Amino acid sequence: GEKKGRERERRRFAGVGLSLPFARQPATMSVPESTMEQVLRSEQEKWLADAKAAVKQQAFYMKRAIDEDSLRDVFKYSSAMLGELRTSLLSPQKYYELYMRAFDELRGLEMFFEEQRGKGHTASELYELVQHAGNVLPRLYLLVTVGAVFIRSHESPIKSLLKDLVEMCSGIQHPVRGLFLRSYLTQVSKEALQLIENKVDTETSTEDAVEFVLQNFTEMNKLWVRMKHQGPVRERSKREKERKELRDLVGKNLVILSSMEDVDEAMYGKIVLPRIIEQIVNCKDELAQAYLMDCIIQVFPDEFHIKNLETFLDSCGNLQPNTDVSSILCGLINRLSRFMEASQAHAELFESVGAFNKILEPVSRISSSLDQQSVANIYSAILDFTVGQKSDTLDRVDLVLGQCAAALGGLGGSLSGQASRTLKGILTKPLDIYSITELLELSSYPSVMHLLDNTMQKQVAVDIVEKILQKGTVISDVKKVESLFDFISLLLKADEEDPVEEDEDDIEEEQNLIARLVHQMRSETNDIDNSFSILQLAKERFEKGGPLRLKHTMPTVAFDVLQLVKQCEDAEKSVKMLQYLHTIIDLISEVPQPEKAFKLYLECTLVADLKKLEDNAYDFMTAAFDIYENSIPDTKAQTEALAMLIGTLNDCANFGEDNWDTLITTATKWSIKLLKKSDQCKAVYSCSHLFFRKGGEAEASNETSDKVLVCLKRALTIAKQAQGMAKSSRGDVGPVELFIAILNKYVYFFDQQTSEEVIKAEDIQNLLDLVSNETSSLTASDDKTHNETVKFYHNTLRYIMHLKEKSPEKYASLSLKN
Amino acid sequence: APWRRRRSERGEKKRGGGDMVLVLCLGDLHVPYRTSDLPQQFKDILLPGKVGQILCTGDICTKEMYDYLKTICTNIHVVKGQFDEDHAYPETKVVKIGDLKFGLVHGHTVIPWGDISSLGMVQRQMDVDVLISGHTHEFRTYAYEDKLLVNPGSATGAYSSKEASTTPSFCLFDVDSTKVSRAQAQWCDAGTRRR
Repeated sequence: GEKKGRERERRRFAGVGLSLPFARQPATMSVPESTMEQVLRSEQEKWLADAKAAVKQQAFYMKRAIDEDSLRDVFKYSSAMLGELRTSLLSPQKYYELYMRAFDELRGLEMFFEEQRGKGHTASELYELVQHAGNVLPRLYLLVTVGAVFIRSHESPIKSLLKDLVEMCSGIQHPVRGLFLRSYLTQVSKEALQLIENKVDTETSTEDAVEFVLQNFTEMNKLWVRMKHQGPVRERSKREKERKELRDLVGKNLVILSSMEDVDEAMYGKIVLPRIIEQIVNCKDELAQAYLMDCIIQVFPDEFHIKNLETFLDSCGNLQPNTDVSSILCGLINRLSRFMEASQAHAELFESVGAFNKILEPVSRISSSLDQQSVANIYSAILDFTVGQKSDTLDRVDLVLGQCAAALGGLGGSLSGQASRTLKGILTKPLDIYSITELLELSSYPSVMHLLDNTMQKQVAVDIVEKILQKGTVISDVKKVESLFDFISLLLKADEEDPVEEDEDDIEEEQNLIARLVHQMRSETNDIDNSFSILQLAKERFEKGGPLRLKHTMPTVAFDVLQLVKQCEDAEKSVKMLQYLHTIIDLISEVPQPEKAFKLYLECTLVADLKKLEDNAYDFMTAAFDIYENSIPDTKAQTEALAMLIGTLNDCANFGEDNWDTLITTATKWSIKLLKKSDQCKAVYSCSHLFFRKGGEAEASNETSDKVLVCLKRALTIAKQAQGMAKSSRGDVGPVELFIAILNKYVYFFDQQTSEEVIKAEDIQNLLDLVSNETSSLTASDDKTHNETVKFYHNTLRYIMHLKEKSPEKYASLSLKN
Repeated sequence: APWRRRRSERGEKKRGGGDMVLVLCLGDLHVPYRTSDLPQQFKDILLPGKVGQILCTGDICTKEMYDYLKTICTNIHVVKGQFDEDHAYPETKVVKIGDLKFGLVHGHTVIPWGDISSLGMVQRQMDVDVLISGHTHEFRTYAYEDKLLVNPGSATGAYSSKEASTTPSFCLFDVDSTKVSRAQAQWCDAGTRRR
């Protein structure tokens, strides 16, 4: 019953061509009704039921009169039936139901009138007769119904009939009743318009048809707007809701205009659009403006829009302040972008009209009267649209960004949270689509960035850097690098306005990101000068970040410069770059980070040595020693640093005799000055390698080998001292593993010799005996803590036995006991 | 450039017996000072949950990288490299896997750097079956007497003062209880294959 009825109504309403304002009311209201509302609703239902019953009854009589062919009675009962539509009691939703009931019956009535014409009454006669009906509303409904017949009869030119009808309807000024009456006229006139299109009537032109529709539209809109002012102010929101339900009645007229085939672009541009817009602007109603502007966009073809952009967009500037212009513009832009995607021809049309600029210009003008969020939304839509085009988009994107920055900047004040997010979306879009090199060409990009607050700017900057790292992009142009630094400038320098305690962990994370970025900034063609100038630029910018930042980023610059030096063939350039490294490392040690600087000096020494630039290498080594002497804080750090230093020295191959002597003597001197005896011992036997030059390199190989033994003997002495101290102060056996280590070193050098130049077999034998004594006392003590030392000893013995097997002559004189 | 994997055949046939542990061996990452990141191909292979242990020779350099390695496997052993700063990594470490002892040392304290005999002394001192060291950024496995000396090279191909350029590499071990089955060596860019 109920459902079937609703279905029928839906079909009927769809037949009128409108969307469904009422068809789907939710069974339960989402907002709980107050008692008052409940009372009102049940009253409405009662009134509707009464009215419907009355209509039904009068319709019954009317149909009986039709069967009896009694024209007078038909008039009487149809008048009575239509009289029910005069009610003011019903809400629009209920009135619609009543209207549909009557509408059904009027179909039958129209057919009757058609038959009557055939039976001798002319249409004009009938037209005259109906005007005797008592009340205005029924009279007008009947007039329109007969009007349909009249139009079909061709007894008069259609245009005069239409004009008459549309003007007569002004007799009803009540908003709801008037709207439904005119809606009936719209429905009935559809056939007339079809006839005009088929050029049936020579006296009626398309312009006349258009005029009719426009007039009906204008009047309907006025009625619709007037609904707002009906009734008490406190019920305004309820009324606006009711108004919304009726909006398609008004919009239907625009649909009709768009479906008229003879309305071409010229007519649209000259007549149709200006008239519609005139009404929209003049009615000064937000609901109407928002709905109708959107209606225009959806209903008329895109070709029309493209050719009339200025008119449309300019009018957007004349709307009410509360009207949401941004969603209108976004709707237009989205529609255009779908249009462009559809085919190449469409894109060409767009270009030929210069539509892009025609959009941008009015938008920039309008922006000054809008709020931040609207402006942001509009430019976001325009950007999406621009990026979606296939050709030449980079310049345009730049233009859009520039305008956006100007518009938002012009509005002043700081950005709201939501506007900021929209803006961030605007900035992220090009990042996803373009390569980094292309992005860097968008000169307006930074100006948009600067509109955001510092936190968000940093986020965007981090996004940019991460994108570069992710894609592995290499930036090889100094100017581009400079642009990039401008883009991410907030990451590179301290916040001047907001000198809050900066979180060191956050800074470290950011700066590590920047450090990784440095490796992506180099020449791709092995142009060393180019790469070096990029690194110099980087160094200058990083310097401005202050010590907290540069301690993370400078070492990377240093390593990249070293890499260049390695590749460089030109000695002069290499020297220049090595000298530059001093300035970099100085900055690091001033942070203060002396240990980092120390390690970097060691690295520089290695590269300088590799390139046979002895002066530079010596210079770096001196600097390293300098830091070691003066700035390395504690014992543990010193021991570690010295080990690195010895290792580095040992890896150098190109020092001349004098310099080499000085360096290794200094290294040994510092080894002996270490605090702990065991550390001293280890450092000294490591130094032994420094005195050992492999045969064939240095001239006086025998002489240097001598010092090896001196060194090892010194180490042995220190080990014995350590042992002595341990025994007397703590009563334990002491660091026996030192002896075993020294034994290993003896064997190392012995094995390298061709014959017993420096280390004699008996030296090893003596040491072997010593070690075996020491370790036997260890095993005797049964103390688990010395297990490792014992294992070391056994492993060493096994090793020596293995060497014996390998070259028995050499090791003949050695005898091993367990 | 395409990367090559070398899987030994003997290792494959041995599969299916006993407690096999897959051990990842790598180091000398030097991120961010010398390189920006691990090669993407490595990141694609080294997915979480695939390896049972990580032995790292050090010079990771940042906490971020350490955290990343931890996501590959929580069972991670690291020793202190020359450029590792803040962390309390030990200088050496011995890890027992199955019946085998693995020794871990960075290598910059072993003088001369990369020298086999000096590394041998460290192996004897730590009493390990396999000694893993780094620092030279040169991938190498060396049979030393009946023991194994391994250098997994630099996982990022970081700059080293000696080499002109370094190929990124790391090492995988399949450890059976009594044997290291074989090392699977992974190279990037180079066509060289190694056992």
